[in-house]
Amino acid sequence: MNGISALAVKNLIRNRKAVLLSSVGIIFGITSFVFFVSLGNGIKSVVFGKILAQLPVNIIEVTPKSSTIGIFSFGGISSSNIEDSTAEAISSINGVKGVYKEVVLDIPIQARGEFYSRRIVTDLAATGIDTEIVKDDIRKDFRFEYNEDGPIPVIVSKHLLELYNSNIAQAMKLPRLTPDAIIGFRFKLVVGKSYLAGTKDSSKVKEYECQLVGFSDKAILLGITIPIEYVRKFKKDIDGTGEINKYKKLYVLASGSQMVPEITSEITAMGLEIDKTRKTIGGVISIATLFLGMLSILIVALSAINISNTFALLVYERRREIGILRAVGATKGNIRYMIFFEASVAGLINGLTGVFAGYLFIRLTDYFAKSRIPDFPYKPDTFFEPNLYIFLVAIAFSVLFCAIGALLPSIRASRIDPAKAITM
Amino acid sequence: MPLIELKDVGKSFLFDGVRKSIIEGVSLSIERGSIVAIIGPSGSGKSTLLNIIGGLDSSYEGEAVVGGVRLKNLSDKELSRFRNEKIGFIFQHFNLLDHLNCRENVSLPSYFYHEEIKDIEKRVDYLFERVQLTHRMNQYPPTLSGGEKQRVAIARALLMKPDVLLCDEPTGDLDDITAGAILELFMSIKKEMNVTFLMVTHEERITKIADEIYAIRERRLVRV
Repeated sequence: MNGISALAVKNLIRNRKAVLLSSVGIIFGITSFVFFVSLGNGIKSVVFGKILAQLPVNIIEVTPKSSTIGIFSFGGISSSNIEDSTAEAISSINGVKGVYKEVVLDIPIQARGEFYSRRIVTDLAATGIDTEIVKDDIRKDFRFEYNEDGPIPVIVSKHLLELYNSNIAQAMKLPRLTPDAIIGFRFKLVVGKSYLAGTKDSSKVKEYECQLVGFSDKAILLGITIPIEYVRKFKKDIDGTGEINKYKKLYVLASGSQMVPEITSEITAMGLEIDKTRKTIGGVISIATLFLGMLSILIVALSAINISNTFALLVYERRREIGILRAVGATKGNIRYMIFFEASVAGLINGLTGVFAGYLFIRLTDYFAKSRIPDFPYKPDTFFEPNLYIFLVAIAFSVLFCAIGALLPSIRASRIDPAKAITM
Repeated sequence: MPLIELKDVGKSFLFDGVRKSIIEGVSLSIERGSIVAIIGPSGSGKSTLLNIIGGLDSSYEGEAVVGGVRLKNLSDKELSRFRNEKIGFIFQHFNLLDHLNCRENVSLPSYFYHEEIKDIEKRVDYLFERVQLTHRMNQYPPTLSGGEKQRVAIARALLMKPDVLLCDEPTGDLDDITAGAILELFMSIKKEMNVTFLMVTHEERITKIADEIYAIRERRLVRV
């Protein structure tokens, strides 16, 4: 360290109380920055790593166009479906290897079964799906296809098990389950009857044996998903038609991931929507993180005014001293550098303190979240994902804003008339 | 060639829209290794003259040449370098930095030298020996007596081996005995280092060691 820098550090030590007081805002801002950006990172990691498990990049999820007014989307309650003819048109797009359909079972159904010595009867929602699209999610030794004799194969959402473990199991004092523990579970499916929709024709009510054969992201969240052939069969049994020509969703398999953009634009041109869940959620988290991060930086930036005031006052108090330094050979640049260096070292210390406080706050929050917040689906071990990059950026912001705060005072200091100052 | 040469130097300032003159038509020539005293009452312009010669004040009329350097129109960097290398200041109130110890105070000019001085530690040690304060080297100024503070200030002024020591009332804050000791130190330094002393004072005892004495009367410098 050269003499001027050493001098600056000594000045800082001498004025530590004043500088520390004016640094509170900066430290608070840096703490918030580390906290919020790490939180955003952590949430993103949970959402993408656990909740939105990676879909294959060459599968495009196509849904009917939702009606929107501004930010309010009515897609979720829309009854619009994709026509059979549309599905055929999509399958003829260049680069499309296959189109797999998902349909809502619009017949009342109920599930009945024994679960850990408890008799459970519940209405259910169900979807039918082309078996090919979920073949990788079916457990070994099980089959997910239509058969006349055996039990109906059923898949459920991966998220349903998480929901059960974190909420239902606790509320009903049932054991938590692993996928292996529940696979092969059997229950009765009563078709044509439900508590909510009632029973239209009791003579048509039929009971089937079902068996859980896998977990899939493509399964309905709160209900069961069965091979699409069973939906046809049930409709035939109840309505007598057995016709399916409208679909809730299509899974379009591209021949390669490079074809996806082209296929996507053609499908969009047909008036359909591409599932943007991941993109939207990712965007929302990024925007929220950015907003909170910017807010923290704004706190730091506003606190730079405090630093500026403090250094202006210190410069005023040290006019005689600056005059002495000028008399023994300090240039205006030397004086500016000295004040700047003081502020930068203060910024570095504030940054390190802020990062430390932020990290401490993260660990404390995690500790309290672990011990005080009840389990919920996908409750992570940590809500935060701090990293070195966040720390370095936080420290850089602190140094930058402290240096900016000292800019005017340093210029003012360098303009002090030494001849007048030494006589003060 | 004289070490300090002033030609028709004047300094004035605007006060309430009226230009007021502090010194006028000052011409002076000082040879290397001499002790020159400038006397005059408070506010007569002694310190102003010292500031002009020391490169602290560059807004004046006339011409000032010190150690071969024409001071007018020098940039801030050049003037700072001039002060650092050619001039040593000694003030009435010592002007030491209280948060630095004596050693650091003496080393201060070297922080602003344009390159590293290899023998700086040796130089500092020697100067403390020279002013007989080796035992106080690591003390802080507030713990020193007035005489000791002035000796530290003298050591600081001599660090960069200047041509000129500009002393503004150097014994003004000291008692008679201490002031006498400081003047003796000046004499021995002059003898050893061939430094030129320019002192402004209103104390008679300083004039006793001076080779030449000038006075400022009616804004003009006159030889006494």
